[in-house]
Amino acid sequence: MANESMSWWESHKPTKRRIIQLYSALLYNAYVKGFAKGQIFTGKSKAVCVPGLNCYSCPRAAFACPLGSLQNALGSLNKNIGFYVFGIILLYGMLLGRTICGWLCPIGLIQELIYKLPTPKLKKSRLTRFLSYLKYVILIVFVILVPIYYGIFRGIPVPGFCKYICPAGTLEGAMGMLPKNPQWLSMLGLIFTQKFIIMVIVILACIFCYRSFCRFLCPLGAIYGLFNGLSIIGIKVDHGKCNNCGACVRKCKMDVKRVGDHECIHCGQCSAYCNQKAISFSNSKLKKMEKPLIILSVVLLISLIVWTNIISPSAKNEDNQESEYISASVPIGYNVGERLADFEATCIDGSTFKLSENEGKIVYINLWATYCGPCVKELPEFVAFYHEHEEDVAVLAVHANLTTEDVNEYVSEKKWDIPIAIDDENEGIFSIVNGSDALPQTIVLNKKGEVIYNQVGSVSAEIIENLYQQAKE
Amino acid sequence: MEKRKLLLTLQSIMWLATALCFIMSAVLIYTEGLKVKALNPMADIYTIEAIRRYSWTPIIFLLASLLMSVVWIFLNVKESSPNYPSKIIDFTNNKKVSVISEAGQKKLSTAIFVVAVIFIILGFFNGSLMDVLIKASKICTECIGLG
Repeated sequence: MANESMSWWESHKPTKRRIIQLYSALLYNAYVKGFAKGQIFTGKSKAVCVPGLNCYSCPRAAFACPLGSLQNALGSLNKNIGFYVFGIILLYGMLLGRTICGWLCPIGLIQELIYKLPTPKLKKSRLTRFLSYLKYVILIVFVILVPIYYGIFRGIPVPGFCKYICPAGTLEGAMGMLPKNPQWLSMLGLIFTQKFIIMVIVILACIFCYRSFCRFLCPLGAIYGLFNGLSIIGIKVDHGKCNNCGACVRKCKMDVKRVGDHECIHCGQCSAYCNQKAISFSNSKLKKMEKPLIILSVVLLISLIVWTNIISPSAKNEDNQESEYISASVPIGYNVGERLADFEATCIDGSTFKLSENEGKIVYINLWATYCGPCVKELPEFVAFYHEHEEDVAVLAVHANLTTEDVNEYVSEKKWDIPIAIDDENEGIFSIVNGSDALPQTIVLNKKGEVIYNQVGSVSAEIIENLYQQAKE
Repeated sequence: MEKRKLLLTLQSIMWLATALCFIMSAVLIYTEGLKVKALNPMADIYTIEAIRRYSWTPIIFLLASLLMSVVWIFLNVKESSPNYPSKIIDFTNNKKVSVISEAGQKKLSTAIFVVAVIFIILGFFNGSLMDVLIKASKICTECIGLG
């Protein structure tokens, strides 16, 4: 019996690659409290792009997604060249190539685990090989052209791949956030339905076809694939030993034509099939450093978990916000029926906006940022509405305290002539109105100063007008 | 039909049905929500009530499919044929000589490495590092499909 259980363990024990995949997934998502709180991590580590695909709007993410950052960088090329993002992607590609896909990508891990479900499997064929080029089309259209077109020519940041395709964002972000933030259901519409369907189809495809997303859709894999021939770490073939039997390529589940080409994820499974022992990892020095690397990795993971969840000022601030919320006295608050605490903001044109001075008017407060696509799209509606009802309406647009460009210049370019302020370092206005990490957010006060609407998500001209009628009643 | 194949086909049908249920539920909630929104622009398309109403069928299918998978794994029901094609597809000689020589590749790698490091350093100073931090610190509602 003991022998049987041992043999079961021998055949099922996780491989070194699986352990590293799990480790990376944990490392990227070290903010354990995120799911419980339904909030994202906002600490300084979010400036670091991880090598693998991992949505930075996932409540557990402690780092930034390289693909999301790349799209943002391309969309703002006319304002600031995203040297950092370009440099870090070049560096990862050069050092690791698609070894990242095989060893360091959480989405790769999820796909491989899903593929273990017992069903008939779709084998690779000329069709799958043809489909593997689809990710290059997606890279060019959704990652490069869409963000550049909208960002540079229309002035609206649109991360094309994230917005229209990425199932990781829906799976990690939306599914992780919505249970704790049911008020965000108001935002869901066509995009969510479309992305949810894409996510279900991708998951279904992964059951039947090995790493379907990775092989056919992932633009990050397409980028890293370009570096595969140059990467320092990865599978290499000893041409002296190789007799070109083709067993490696035949038994590989990816659509490779030869070991190490742009489709190879360097998982190393082919080395087991090579009778000539011609396939091995290129960097044997890493093997010698295995023990110190393991110790270093464990220390790094533990430190990161402790830092993101306990020590980071971001984690502490969130705790403080919650306690303030709980202890807030009823009449002053931000929920419907409550009154906002008074505040004064200095607008970018030099004027001041004091909430108490606008009593008797219907007040619209809109939280926005230049780097938020939906915010930039809806603000013109507020401008038009303000001019239509200037007599009994006050509007204040509050930009998030962190800015990626000159807001004054941006607003002048857009010709938005409504009071616009930038929140202070301590997020004074955001905390008064309960501004969340998600933008845009609109707060409407009736003539008595009571909150009648406070929701995250875009509002149309029709909704703005409806809220006006509601506030007048 | 072989018993193993039959069981695996059954499992496939279950997964397909589960996916279809999820897709149909999303479509039904969306279309129903649109109708409500047409009458009342302030109404939400997705509501907790609608999600509760339409989600039980896909969840039952999901649980049943998962249960079936666990049983199949326990019974060691899996595809018997190897998961690679019977004949090789598009094999390019492993010995294929690269367009660039090995020494050229090393030079190119070093050049890319240097450019990458220079870019990262430039990024520290031109604010693009800060841009990443700022954008990653706010929830990108579009990215996660919230709209």
